Amino acid sequence: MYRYDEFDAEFVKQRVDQFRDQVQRRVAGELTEDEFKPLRLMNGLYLQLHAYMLRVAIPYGTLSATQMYKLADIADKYDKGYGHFTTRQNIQFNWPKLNDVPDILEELASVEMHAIQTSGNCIRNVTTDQWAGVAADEIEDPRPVCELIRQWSTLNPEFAYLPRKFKIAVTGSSNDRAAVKAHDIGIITHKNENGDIGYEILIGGGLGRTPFIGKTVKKFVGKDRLLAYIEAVMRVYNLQGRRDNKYKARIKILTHETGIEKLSEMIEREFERIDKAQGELELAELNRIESYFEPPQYSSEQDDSTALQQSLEANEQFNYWYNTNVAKHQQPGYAIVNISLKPIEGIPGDATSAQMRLVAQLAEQFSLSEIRVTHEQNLVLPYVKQADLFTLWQQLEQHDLGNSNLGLITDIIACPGLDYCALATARSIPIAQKISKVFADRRKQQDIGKLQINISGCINACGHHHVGNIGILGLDKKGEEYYQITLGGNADENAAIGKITGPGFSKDEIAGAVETVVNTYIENRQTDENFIQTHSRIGDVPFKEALYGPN
Amino acid sequence: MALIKDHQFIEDRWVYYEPDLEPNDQIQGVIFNLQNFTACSHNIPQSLQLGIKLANHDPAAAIQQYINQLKLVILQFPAFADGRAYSQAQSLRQFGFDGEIRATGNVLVDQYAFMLQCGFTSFEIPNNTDLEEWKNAARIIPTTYSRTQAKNYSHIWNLRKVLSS
Repeated sequence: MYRYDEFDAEFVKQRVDQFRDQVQRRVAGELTEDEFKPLRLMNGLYLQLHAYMLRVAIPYGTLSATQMYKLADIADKYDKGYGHFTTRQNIQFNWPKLNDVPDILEELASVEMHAIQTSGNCIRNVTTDQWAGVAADEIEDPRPVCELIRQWSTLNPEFAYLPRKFKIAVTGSSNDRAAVKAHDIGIITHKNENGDIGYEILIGGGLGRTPFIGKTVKKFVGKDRLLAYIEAVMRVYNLQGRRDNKYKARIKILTHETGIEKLSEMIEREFERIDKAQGELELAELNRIESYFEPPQYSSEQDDSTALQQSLEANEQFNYWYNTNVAKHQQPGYAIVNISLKPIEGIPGDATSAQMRLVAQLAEQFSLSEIRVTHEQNLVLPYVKQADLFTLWQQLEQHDLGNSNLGLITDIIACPGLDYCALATARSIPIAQKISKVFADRRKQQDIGKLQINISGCINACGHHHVGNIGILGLDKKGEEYYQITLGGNADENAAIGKITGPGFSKDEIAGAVETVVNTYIENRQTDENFIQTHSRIGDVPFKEALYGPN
Repeated sequence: MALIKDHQFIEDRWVYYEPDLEPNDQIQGVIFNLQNFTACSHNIPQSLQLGIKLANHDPAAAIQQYINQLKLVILQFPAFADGRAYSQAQSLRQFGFDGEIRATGNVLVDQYAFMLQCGFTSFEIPNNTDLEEWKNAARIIPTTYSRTQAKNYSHIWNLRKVLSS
């Protein structure tokens, strides 16, 4: 993975010093809260319902064991012993004290981490496929491009005060596991007929109040011109994006109101103006970064060893976990292990410091000291030998991390909701817990198959409910929480926005309503059809009738 | 308001255009807006320099053709969080403008380094400002990963290139 050189290290250290000074000026009353707010936001510090919340960047979801140990220490020392992994591959601490934050940032800097631009109207943490570099279906490891964008966007002076926040995601595979079409800029890696690698650029995707699927604005841009193209998009957006209404300020609204053709002409004009010579420097830097992402020294192993087969036959629970949570690796004899942070009735994405330490230790023991965070709020050990799977699983099981539900109905994505968030209109976590209880039986889950539920506690859609196969949106109706259901959303390469079924349900009814939807699918499905396939074949009507009665 | 350049107070010897403007030794140049520049800039004596104050919605490209005649462009920050002027400044430098770019409006010390890196060279700030703070703010992070127009900020990718060659 990427390692800081002296320039990166010095840069982050100076940033910590700068923020320490800003906190002191705030505490001394030299800065008003209005003046301090954008400064703390650009360092990932929010003021939430009950306390400050610090969001730490995990660039493109890649963590070393050392970094994970540090996160566990911070959780114990400055928080209440846990952290929350987010839908943008970051981690949030919910209870830091303002005075401690400069120290936390200093501790993070000691393990090459920071909280820069995890908030504010700037370019946020770049996200990607959690299986980057190991996925069997990959055209190129997307992490070098992500790291190039991370550096370029870090304290980029021109784009620090955009009309609104700006999110970029990259996929190196045509199977999109990074939800790139739901981002302000989505980047899809392609190989052209000459064998050259380049990037398709989508703009204007986004969820929130007004969801849109991203549209292609450039079919193919070469490696040496990628940043120039992104810069052109950003400049047009910075100048043309709406600043009169924060709910209309994202690039998706500019794209919608201007039209993709006209906007692409404006971007192209800007792109042509950008000095082509700078591409050389960018390419040299990209090459330097790529050397950090060379594949590791794999030992020569074979797929499906006898030992693995024996364990799979001998232990039904292990077999079940293997079939749900282990994915195919590029390298024979290796496997990608997905650790679900979605225990039945647990809080999606939460991990205790003990769990963090265990995962760090398992990464050291079994996965070349590397860990990934997924946008579904789970963790990944990307370099596990198949022969080690059984031992690894036993240790996960002992620490409540052996949940066999990856991609299944209880692998729920949920925002923190009204339990923590100052914007929320309803709670998300208790709803996720209720639903996971209803579907706790693993045979039932397995029978239902692949089904993504997403829950957001308000229309800002941090739980990405628009792109959940079943989306749940929590709202407030005269002081009562109630929940709308959307069906048919999808976050992958066939990205789609779900449609609202009808009137919402109370907090006591919503889990039952989800069960009704699932039963309708089971009654109507054909052989081997998963939920989203059945839904696209039969449409909304049978589901609506089941929920609300015939008309 | 006061004017600073290189973290020092300087005298502002520019005036805004008026039809009955009387030139004198104290006046260095005249500032127009985009509309009256084309109509009136030829009316003033050759001894005076030309400047333009752009609105945030004026495209920088609109003055590309005049860049060699201009010595000053004023860009505006209606609020410190409105970052359009950063892009306007970068565009002007990209077009080859090498005169003064002045920041006016809600110009605060916490954005000073960003403004310098985008090519701003002078700043309208309150009279009683402690310039020591501004000097420190400009120096606290002297490197950058992105395009910089100010010589005293080093691009980290260039530093790496030099080190490796």
